[in-house]
Amino acid sequence: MQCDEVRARLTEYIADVVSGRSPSASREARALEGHLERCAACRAEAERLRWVEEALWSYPGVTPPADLTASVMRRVEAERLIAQEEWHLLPWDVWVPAVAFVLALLVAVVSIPPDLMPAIPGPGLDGALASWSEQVNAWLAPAQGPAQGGLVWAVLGAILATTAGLGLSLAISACTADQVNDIESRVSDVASRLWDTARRAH
Amino acid sequence: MAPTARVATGALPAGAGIVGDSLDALVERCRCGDKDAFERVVADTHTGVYNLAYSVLRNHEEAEDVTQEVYLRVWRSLPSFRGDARFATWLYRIAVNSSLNRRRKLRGRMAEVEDDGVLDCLESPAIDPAVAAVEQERNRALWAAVMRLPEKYQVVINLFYRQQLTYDEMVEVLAIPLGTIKAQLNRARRALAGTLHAGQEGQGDAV
Repeated sequence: MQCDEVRARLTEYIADVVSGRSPSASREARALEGHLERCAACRAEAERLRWVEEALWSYPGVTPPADLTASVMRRVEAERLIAQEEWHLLPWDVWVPAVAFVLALLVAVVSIPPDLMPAIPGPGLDGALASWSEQVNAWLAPAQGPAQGGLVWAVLGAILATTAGLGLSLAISACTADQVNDIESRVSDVASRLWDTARRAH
Repeated sequence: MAPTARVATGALPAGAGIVGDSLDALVERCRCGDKDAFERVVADTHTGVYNLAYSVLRNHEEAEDVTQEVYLRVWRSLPSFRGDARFATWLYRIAVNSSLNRRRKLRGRMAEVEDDGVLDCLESPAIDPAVAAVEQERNRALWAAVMRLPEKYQVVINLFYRQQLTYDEMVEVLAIPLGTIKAQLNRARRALAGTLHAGQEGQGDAV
């Protein structure tokens, strides 16, 4: 084995020896050790590497401030309180499209013509929806033509829902990745608290 | 002092002082919003996170601020932590990313941020004063040499020797191939040997 081959393998070899994973059983290691016995320059390099390796295992660390845990917890608590407040006061570009979406969805549902209602599954639901739909259609009758029934309002509701959904998507896409992560973690946080509360209550 | 054997998979951050199972149990409690459990997790793991941040930022205030940010992110993300990765690995991944992001933001004014007061803050070994003095001197030389390495080498040195992560865990934390990690470690060792040897020769010449 030549010096350049030895130098290429020496670092890892010394690291293994110092950390107790001695590879002395392999043929390559025996060749390397044989070279070290004969070559003073490589032996000196091995000694330097051994010194570094041993020193690195006692790699010094810095002592963190004594009150670091307390200051982390103060920040976590402040964050928790702000998150709770902000959950009730979401920015307008989130809650406006969200409310519009929900309202539009309600309009769309109650505007479905009564004759389509029996197609909706669920005990009692079809009757209730048909009743709301009849009331809404009766209330809206003056504004509708004689032939269209609730269809006009269903289409309008669907358009509104789509627009609101688009607005919501745009509002979210305008957020930075951190803001989206933030919203996501708040939603997860609230969901997990609700789940935990429900589980405990159960 | 070199260890006789490498810390096996499951090694916890230096200074953690808790076994893996109890950390897992604490993390599970944290996921349900238990703040006391989270406080214990912070107390048991913050030394490693702080040191990692310091090795990248070299400034106490910045390292403290990044450490706080790391735990805020951990607190926010804990409900979605599914335990696919070991908690310590996940924690260090966040710490490395946050520290490197901060360093990038500060790049323009890193010269102002550099802090050489660290040599007074190195953890002091609680042993015989004569041995302690020798070790302290060695640690100072080593620290100064490590600080002159490129930041990516500093991070691998810190994770491997200080936090005692295994190669597999380092692959997870740094998201780079095992071969690259080993190559970076070897280059860092050779560079340190060269720097420290040159320093010793310089001292010899001066004497």
